[in-house]
Amino acid sequence: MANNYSRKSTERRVPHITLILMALFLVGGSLGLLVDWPAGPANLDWGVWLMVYGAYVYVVAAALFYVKTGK
Amino acid sequence: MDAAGQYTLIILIYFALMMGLGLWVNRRKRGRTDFFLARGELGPGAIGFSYSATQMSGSSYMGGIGIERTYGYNFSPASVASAAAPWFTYVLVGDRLRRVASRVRCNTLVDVFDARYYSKAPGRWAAMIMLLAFIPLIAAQLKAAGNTFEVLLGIPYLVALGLFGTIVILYTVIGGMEAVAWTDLIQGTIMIVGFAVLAPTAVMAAGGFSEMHRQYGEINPGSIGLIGTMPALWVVSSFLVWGFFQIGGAPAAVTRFLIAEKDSTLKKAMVYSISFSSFIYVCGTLIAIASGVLLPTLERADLALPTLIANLMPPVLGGVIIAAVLGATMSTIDSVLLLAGSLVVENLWLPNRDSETDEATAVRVGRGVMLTIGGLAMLMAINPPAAIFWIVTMSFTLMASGFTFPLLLGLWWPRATRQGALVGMLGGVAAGVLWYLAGYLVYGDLNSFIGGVWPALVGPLVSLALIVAVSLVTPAPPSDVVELFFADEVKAIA
Repeated sequence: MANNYSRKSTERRVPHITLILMALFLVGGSLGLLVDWPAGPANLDWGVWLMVYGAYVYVVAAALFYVKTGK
Repeated sequence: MDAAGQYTLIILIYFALMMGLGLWVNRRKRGRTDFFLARGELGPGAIGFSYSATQMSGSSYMGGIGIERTYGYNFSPASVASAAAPWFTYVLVGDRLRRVASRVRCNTLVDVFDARYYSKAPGRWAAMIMLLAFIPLIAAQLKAAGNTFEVLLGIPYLVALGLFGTIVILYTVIGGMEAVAWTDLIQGTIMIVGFAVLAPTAVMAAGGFSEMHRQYGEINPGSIGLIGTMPALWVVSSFLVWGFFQIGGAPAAVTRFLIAEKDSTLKKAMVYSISFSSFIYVCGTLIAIASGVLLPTLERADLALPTLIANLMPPVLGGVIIAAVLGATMSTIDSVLLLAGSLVVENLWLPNRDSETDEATAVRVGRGVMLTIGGLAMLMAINPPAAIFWIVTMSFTLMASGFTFPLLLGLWWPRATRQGALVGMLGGVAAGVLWYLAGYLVYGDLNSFIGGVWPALVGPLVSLALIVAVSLVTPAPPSDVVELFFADEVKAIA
């Protein structure tokens, strides 16, 4: 098994903040689905606005954060 | 020329262009690594689009829209999670896979399992599970394409199936990975344009955003909110399954991480992929809700998208959108076939050869495997067992249950052992299958799950428990393996 790589070139950090954001997405998202949300605009309740359309914004923003900071 | 003729002409032009691209790429290479991976030859756009196009598949267009039309916003959290899948997969697996692939020869995920678990057994079982799961996955894509041709061109399903299946399988056999990734980029662009036109058109036809939802709520009151038609556990577990568990559930897409040589390329690819997926899923939700209003009596949910296109779009524009849909099915089929060929050649055939095998022979064997798997999938698609989405779900369950935690823990937990990985892999698959069977015994339906909990959630969780338990009671991995996979952490701690 080849093992002659450079350690320096493979240093890496664990992206702690991104891991927290992922946990928040999974746990917060799961709990948020169980809430009885009040009615919101356009004949949809606030749950749909936050947990569906808002969640897309969250994911894109979180991914950009990871790309920019690596954290 | 009538509408069917215009659709036919545009689709033929599209396929001719894609075949031409495959032949053009094919003219200048043919080592087997080039054929299966094209490592270092693709930019972030091609990799990102290729990941999403492979992950989303025909099920996202035909099946996903059909399911979301039925379950409305009860299913939308699964769509959101699916858009987040590249985020989970790139951050938790992609970067580490790329680094490992730079240290040891890795053309497939099975190579990673072989290196990490210092044994051929987990990798061989993984290859067999994948090959088994690929047949229904490809069959579902072929069904999606067959349904599209059936509705728009008015040709019989079986003729459409034979035509499309033959073209896509031959295209993949000729072109290899680089051709596939470039055509994924083109197809991804077409998908964006197509859905950007179709979604607002459908919403306007349904009376506008607010009025569309009012009408949908009257027709389908349980599906206008997050929970209603389906129980809470069904909605929550679908949300968990379709995001996080794509780490193991979409190995053909994950193989894209082995293409990139630079970290910056991979990160840019992730942004392309997530942005693309989010846009497509938002449009898909709007199209699905609109189809619930505009086509309330449609019996076969899988036909919602092509029927909507036929009703709302001029044939030329509709033909372009259909080309995008066919592009999605084509992307998945070609990526999965390439992975199947690569698995058999690299992990099952070559390791058992005594003599040196030349590259051309290896590629020929890979092409033979692709033809075989593709042919079996075409046979299955002649009389498919369920709607598109549920066929894909069965395939996904097998792979998510078998691979998510052996892969994840293999890259993040030095203590994971080969015995733990093997037991976790097989135990997870068995648990997923048994959960399906339990639902069938109780409800008489493979698409109904006990307590609403998806098998693709049960299988991976059983797998996780087994890997941890067995790893802790078996000897730790050899130090050279730990060094190879975790040198950076060891150094950071020191």
